[in-house]
Amino acid sequence: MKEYEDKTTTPAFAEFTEAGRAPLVSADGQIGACAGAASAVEAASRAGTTKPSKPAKQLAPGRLYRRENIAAFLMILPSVLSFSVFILAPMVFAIILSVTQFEPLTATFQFVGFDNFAKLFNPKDWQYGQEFYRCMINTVFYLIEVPIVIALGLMAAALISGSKIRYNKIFRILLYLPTVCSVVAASIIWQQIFLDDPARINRGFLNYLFGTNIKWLSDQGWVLAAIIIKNSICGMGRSMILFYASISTIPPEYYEAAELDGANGWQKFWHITFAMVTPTLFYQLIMRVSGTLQSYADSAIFASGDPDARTAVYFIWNFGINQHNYNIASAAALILGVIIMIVTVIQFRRSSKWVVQL
Amino acid sequence: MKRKTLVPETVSEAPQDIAVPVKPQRDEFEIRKRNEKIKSIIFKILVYGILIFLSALVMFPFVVMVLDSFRTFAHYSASRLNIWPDPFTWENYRRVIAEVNILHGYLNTFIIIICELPCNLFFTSMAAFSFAKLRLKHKTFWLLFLLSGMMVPGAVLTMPRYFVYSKINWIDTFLPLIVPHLFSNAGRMFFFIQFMHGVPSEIFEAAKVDGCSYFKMHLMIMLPLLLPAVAAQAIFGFMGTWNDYFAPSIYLHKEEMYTLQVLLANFFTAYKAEGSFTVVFAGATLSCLPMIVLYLILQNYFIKSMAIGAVKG
Repeated sequence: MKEYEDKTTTPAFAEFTEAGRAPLVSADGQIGACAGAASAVEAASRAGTTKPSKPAKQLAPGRLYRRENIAAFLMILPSVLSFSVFILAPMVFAIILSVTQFEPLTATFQFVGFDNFAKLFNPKDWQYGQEFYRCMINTVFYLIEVPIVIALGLMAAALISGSKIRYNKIFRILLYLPTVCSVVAASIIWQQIFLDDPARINRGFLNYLFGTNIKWLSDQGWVLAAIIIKNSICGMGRSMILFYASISTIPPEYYEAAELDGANGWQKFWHITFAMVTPTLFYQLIMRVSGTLQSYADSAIFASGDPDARTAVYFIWNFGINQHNYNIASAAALILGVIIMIVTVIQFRRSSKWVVQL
Repeated sequence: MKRKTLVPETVSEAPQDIAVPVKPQRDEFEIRKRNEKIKSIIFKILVYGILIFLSALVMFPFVVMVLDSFRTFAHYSASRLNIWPDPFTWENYRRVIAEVNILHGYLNTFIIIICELPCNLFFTSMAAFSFAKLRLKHKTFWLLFLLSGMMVPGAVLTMPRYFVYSKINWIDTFLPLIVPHLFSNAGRMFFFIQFMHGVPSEIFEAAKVDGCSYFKMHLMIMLPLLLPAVAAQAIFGFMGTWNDYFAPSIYLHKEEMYTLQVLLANFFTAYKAEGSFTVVFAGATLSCLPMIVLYLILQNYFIKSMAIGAVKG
């Protein structure tokens, strides 16, 4: 009963549980005094996604079933239609755009095969190829931030959720606070921190503080470093809060048992905390990699479109929307999309080895 | 200091003949205890040190931003390190509101959120109800069909969408920012389905016996139970649209149509050339303020919502 009330405190719910109509089951179906009922409902709920759900207790007549089927379909219809029109159709159209060339004179699309891709992959193509390579390399470089963000977030979350730490709420609030601010605002602020000025009049905070004159925003190596530093610090809050939420669901019994066995702090962290947050870590890894590969504001606002800081999405924006070359931009977007999908699939494949599944 | 006085006391309490063999043992115990205490103090200092360092690192730019927004430009350019505003001034805020029309940016962002978010929450929760609790033919197919939307990177969709919108004159309207988000959101639907698995199906079977229609079941039974999840998604949806920059910057080119973020980015570029950084900081502070206030009020809620989403999704 208690497990039940934790999940839902709505009065309607309580009535049902009191009336005894609903079986006594935890929402996750993990633990339960009545294990049989638990597994049955769990199976039923799982089946909802994978198999046709189990038949109702009274065998429903065919007409009733058909009515339910129609109602269920009507309910998903808006989503299906919207998905088809705004995601599936653009996907198909993107593929069409990438293998054609727009003729401005006749306003038609000429099929050109893989010419657009060839232009992008040709490093000697001064118009597209060079720029594309540079953007892709920059984008891949930004991935350095992903492990840093995740490590910092995990460290902060593990430290905050330690039971002996007082004021952990304050740290939690402070660490997450910048995350609710927009990328634009963050870029503006951080640009001021990293600002460089050859005339030394408008030096940024960092240069001012150390008396240096590093060209954080115009030198190729430094601008990448600046963006990685900025994103590592800005992204930490979100990573921390996800890990914190995940750690707070670990049953304290695990730690008690480990303490009885004489485990030290590091062992407890590594064998319990870390092992239990691997699903969250995996989720973050996928989201971060995919998000970082599609970053745009960093190069557009933070680096003010500096050629050395351009990302792949900046390339797409620059050629597609700025210069109205839809075909090249679509081809580049498709390459980026395929890379993201491949990375995601690889991560899924490899995840089975280290992600703990309950 | 205390320990030194403690040791003789305990020894003197013990009888003489036993004290001789016991004494080294007690000392050992005391030393170990003391070591552990020192260890835990060092550990604590280390932990607090790291946490304070990280918090300072994260908060520092924002503190600088807020303080700088109250400084006069003369003071700002004269001393960069002394960040405390010396002549405290509201002039920057006055200029932002008067010159940049930032209130219009707020309004535009609000219009988009209010048109899009409630409708999206309703339709995604309805689809999730259908997947989680109703019998649907080819359910697996439809679910995978919709969830595959989560796999598609947004960058791929930008070009074709922009091309079509420019052909049907949707550029410089709010429609490209509202209509595609009205009915479906794969991630949100998945979140709702996960949450609904915690609700027992027997309720709906009982409702069915009582002659409740399927739509009413969703509206009268599922939605009230789903309220925490809906609220969580509403917060994150609000935050996402509020902070979105890429899509509005592509589709909106007229100044009176700019959303808050586009307005901020554009006037940042304009004022940077002019050198009035303090005004830009005032604008950035104003753009962050609603989200920060919302977060501080609902911060417990943020964590709980994250817990629902992160652990199950």
